[in-house]
Amino acid sequence: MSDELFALEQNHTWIVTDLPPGKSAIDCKYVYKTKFLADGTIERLKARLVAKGFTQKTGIDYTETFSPVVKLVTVRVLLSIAAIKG
Amino acid sequence: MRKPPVCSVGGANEVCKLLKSLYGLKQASCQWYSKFSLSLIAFGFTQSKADYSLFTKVDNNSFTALLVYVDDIIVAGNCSSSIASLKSFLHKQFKIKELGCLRYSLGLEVARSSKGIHLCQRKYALDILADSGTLASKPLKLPLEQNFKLTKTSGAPLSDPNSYHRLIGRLLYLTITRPDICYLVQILSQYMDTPTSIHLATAYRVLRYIKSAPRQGILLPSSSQIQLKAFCDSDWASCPDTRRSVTGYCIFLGNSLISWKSKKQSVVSRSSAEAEYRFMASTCSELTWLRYLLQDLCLSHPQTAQLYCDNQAALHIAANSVFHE
Repeated sequence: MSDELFALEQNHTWIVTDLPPGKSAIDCKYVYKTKFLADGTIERLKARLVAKGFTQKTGIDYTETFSPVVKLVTVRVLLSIAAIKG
Repeated sequence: MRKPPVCSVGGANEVCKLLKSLYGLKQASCQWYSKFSLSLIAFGFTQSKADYSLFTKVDNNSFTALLVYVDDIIVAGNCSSSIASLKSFLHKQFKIKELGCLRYSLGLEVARSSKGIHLCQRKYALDILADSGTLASKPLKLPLEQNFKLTKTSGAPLSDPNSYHRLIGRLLYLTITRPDICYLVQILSQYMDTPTSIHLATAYRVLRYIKSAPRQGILLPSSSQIQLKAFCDSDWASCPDTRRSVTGYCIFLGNSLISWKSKKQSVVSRSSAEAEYRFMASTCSELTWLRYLLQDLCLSHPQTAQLYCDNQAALHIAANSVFHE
């Protein structure tokens, strides 16, 4: 858990400031996951800090959420050309 | 953002101001994409206008193309050194995991041989069968009887439409490598708002049909020239609820099938010629898009793309504008 916090601070993910008046803060929490090796022994305990995105409001906290995905036709075109060109 | 539970610095009223995106934020995917595309463009890639998630780079004789599906990336190129330099650049910028030669991506299983590249979704198909509990059902050779028609009101409405929604959603993803179930999924997905028991039974028949050959996919053969060919066909007023026509097209690049669609038209046609002519127009727009895409992939396609249609009246209209009403 402290590893995750350390990594986020290393990356300068945030700065600590005072909350401006009239604004509300987004909650966050840790999500824990236990990673097992193939034989069932514990590999490591993983913690990830996640923001509770469902408390955000459109237009106030964010404006765009779109991330384009590739058309599957494009994938097939690329692969067919790869097949032709060898 | 409120401070994380363990962070102990600062007073109680202080919060963390986010400078970077965090997992779970609504805009996380958008920010990732803008960061990734900007760094690729800085490296010398150009973003394709035909498909925004395709990036290409031309450098003397080497050509590299890169496809982005949120955080899954496919790289193709003709020069191994430029691919290696791209990889080292990405390693420097991000923490990436390299999975080697393309075998399994986005649920597609890719197999290569001297004959070409074979795509299938065997694991995905079996997962659907397992989740719907039809793994042990009897396989069917044909999913539908001839002239079988579904209507909106046949059968009793389902008490839990969500399971139907989920099933159709997964079947939709399965059409990526299976043009044979494209028509069926098109029919079934029309009844998403009020699915009935008969619709669900038909969906289960489709699953039994998938069971007969889960490995079925498409082969992109290596021995083919670069020539776009499109085939389109339409029936007339076959939808019993709306009397609109159902049409389909498939487009080949040489011998490999790359694009297909089955769709109910958006307007009522008064004759089969009208329906076919209308659909030839929309097939043309797909062909035009494909030509732009080929251009972005640095492939010359100087010859005209061929469009095949079997309706004489529609062909006459297309050939001679005098027949335009």
